[in-house]
Amino acid sequence: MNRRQALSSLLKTGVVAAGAAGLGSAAGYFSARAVGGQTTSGLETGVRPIKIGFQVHRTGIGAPYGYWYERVANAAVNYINKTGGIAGRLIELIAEDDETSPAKGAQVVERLVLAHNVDFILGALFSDVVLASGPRAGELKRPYFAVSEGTHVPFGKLNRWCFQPGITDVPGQVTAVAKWIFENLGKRVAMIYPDYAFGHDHRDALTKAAERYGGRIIEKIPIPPGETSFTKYFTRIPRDIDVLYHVMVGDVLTFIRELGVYLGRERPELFGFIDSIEAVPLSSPGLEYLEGTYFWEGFPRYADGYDTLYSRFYREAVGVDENGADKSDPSRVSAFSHMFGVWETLFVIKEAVEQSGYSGQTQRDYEAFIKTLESMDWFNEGLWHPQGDKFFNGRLHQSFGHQFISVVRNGRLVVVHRTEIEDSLYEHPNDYTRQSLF
Amino acid sequence: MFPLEHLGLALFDGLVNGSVMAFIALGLTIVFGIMNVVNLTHGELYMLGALTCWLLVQSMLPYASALIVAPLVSGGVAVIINMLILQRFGHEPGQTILATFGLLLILQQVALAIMGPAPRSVQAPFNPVIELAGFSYSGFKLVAGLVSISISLLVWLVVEGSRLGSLLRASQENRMMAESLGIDTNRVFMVGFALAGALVGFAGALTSPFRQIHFLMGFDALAMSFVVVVLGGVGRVGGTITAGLALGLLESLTALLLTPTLARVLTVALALLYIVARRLGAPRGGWRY
Repeated sequence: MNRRQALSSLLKTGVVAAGAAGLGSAAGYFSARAVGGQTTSGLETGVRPIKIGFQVHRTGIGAPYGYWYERVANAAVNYINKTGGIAGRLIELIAEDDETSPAKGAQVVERLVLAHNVDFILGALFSDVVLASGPRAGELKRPYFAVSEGTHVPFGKLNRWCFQPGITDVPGQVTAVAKWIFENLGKRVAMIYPDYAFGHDHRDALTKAAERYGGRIIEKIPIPPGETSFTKYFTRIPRDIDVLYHVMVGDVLTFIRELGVYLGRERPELFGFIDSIEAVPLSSPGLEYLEGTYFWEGFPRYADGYDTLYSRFYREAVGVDENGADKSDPSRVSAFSHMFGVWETLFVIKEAVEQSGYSGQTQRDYEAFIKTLESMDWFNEGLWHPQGDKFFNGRLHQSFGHQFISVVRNGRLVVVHRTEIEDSLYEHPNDYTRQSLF
Repeated sequence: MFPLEHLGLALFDGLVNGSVMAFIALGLTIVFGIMNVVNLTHGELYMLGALTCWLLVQSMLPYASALIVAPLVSGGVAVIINMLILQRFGHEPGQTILATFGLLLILQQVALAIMGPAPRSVQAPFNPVIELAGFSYSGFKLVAGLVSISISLLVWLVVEGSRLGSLLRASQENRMMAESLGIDTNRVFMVGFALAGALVGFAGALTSPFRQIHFLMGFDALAMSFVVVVLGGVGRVGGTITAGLALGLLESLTALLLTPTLARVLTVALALLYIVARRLGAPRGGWRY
C-alpha cells in the first residue's frame, strides 16, 4: 500500500468514525439548545476557561468578512461549550476589532496576550493584518491561527507559532482549479487581479499551473488598489483568448458592469474567484452579466452545492439559509466560502489541546501543543470539518482541502466540479519544525 | 502599438471620468478653495448621497427621487456640521481638521450600521449600450458625464459671476471687514456649506448606478477631490473643472501605454510636478484668482 492509498484508507475510515461521533454530539447540541441552554455534563466546574483571543475585522475594508467570521466563531464556541468544552474546560472568546489595519492588528495581538492573557489567538483574514500580527504573536509565544488563504503561513514568512489549518491557501486553491480550467474552458488565458500580495499570489500560482497543465497566460492585467473605473484597462484584454480569469479587484460591482458593456455577448469564458462577490447577492444590479460564468467556491453558497449531513448541521448552527444568506435577513449574504475556516480552526485547536494534554501557559504545554499539531496530517470530514476532509502539512503549517467550481445559472451558483485534495498540493521547501520554539 | 479604437475609447472614457471627478470635487472647491475650510467630511457627504439613493431605490421609490432627496440630505448634514461644530471653532484650521476627521469616522460607522458592510448597487433607470467608433459604452454613464460637466459649468458661472461668489470670497479674505460692511458671514458660510454638500450629495446619487456603494467609498472620493482641487488651483472653479478633465484623460491615455499601476503613478507624479512647477513660477504674493 503506497502513501496515497494509506492516506485514502485512513480518510475513509476516519470520515465514518468522525461522522458517527459527530452525529451523537449534534443530537446533544440541539437537545441542549431546546431545553434553554442547560450546562452540558462533563465540564469541570471552577476550572479556568481556555481563553481564545479573536482578531476581528469589525470595521474597515474587511468588515463584510469580519461580521461572518465573528458569527461563526460564536456559533462554534457555543457548540463546543455545550458539548463538553475543550478537555472539559469552557472556551472564553475575547474578540477585539482590528479595523482591518496592520498596525491595529499587532496592537490587538499584544492586548489579547498582555491584558487578557489568552491561551491562543484566532487571527485575521486580510494578508497585511496577518503579516503584521504573526511576528508579534511569535514574540509573545502565543499560537496564532490565521484564516486568511494567504501564502505568508505556508511560504515561511511568519514563524513556528503561526498556523493556517482551517482553509486552503491561494496557491493550493488556484493549482486545484487551474487543472479544470485548462482542461475544460481553454488554454489561452488573460488574468485581471489586484496589484498587491493577494493578486500576486493568484498571478504566480496560475502561471505555474499553466506550465504544469499546458496552458498559456497571454496577458496579466494588475489593477491598482482603490480603482473605481476599469474601462480604460479593458483595452489590454486580447481578443483571441479562451478564458478571462478575474479575482477581487475592489469595486467589483462597477468592474462587472463595465466589463459587461465592454465585452458584450461575444465574450471569452469568464472564471472568477468568489472573493470578488463574497457576501454580495447575485441579484445585485449589474451582476446579470455573470450568468453562465464560472467561479471558485471554498464551500458552496447554495446548500444543494454540497449537501451533506455535516454541511446541513453547520449551516443551521451559523444561521445561514439554503441560499447562503442570513436566516433572519435574506438580503444579508454570508461569506460562505471563507467563514467555515473559522469553525474548523476552532475545532483544530480543540483537537490539538486534547491530544497534547495542554493544560496551561507553560513552556512544556505550548511545546506539546505545537508539536502535536505539527504531527497531524488529516482532518476528517465531519461536524468539526463540514467543508470536507483536509490534508495538513505540519512542515508548512497549512491545510489543503477540496475546492468547488460553480457556474452561475438562473442567478444562482451551481456546483459543476469538486476537486481532489491532491489537486491542491504543491512543493515548497519551508519547514517550520526546524525553528526553535523558545 | 494600440488599435485606433482603443485611443477613441481612452479619450471618451477619460473625458467622462474626468467630468465626474471634477463634479465630485466641486463642493470641496467651494468649502476648501474659496472659504478656506478644510472639510474632511466631503467624501462622506458623497457617500451619504449614494447611501440615500440606495435607501430610496430599496424602498421602491424611483431613482429620480434620489436626485432630489440626496442633495437635501447631504446639504442638510453639511449645514448641521457647520452650525453645531465648525462655526463654534470659528473655522480655525487645526480644530476644523480634527473635528471633521472625527465626523468622518462617525459618518462611516453610521453608514456601516445602516447598509451593512457589503457593497451595494443601484439599477440604472436606463442603460442602453452605445456603439461608437469601434467600441461600446454605457449610455447611463455618458449621460452622467454630461450632467456632471453641465452642472459644473453652471456652478462656475454662479460662483465667478454672482453676488454669492463675491460674498463667499469676501467673507473668507477678511471676515471682520466683511462683517463691518454688514455682511452676515455666518450666514454666507452656511450657504456655502449647504451648496457644497448638496452638490456632492447629488454627485453621490448620480454616480450610484455605475459605482459600488460602500460605507468606505468616501475616502477615495475625498483624496481624489483634494488632488483635483489643488491641481486646478485652490479656489478656482474653472481650474477644478479643467483639472478633473485633464486627470481623467491622463489616466486613460497612460493606461493605454503602461501597466495600470504605473499609469496611475505617472498620472499622480505628473500632477505633482505641475503643482510644484506652478508654485515655483508664481509671482510674488501668489496668483490672483
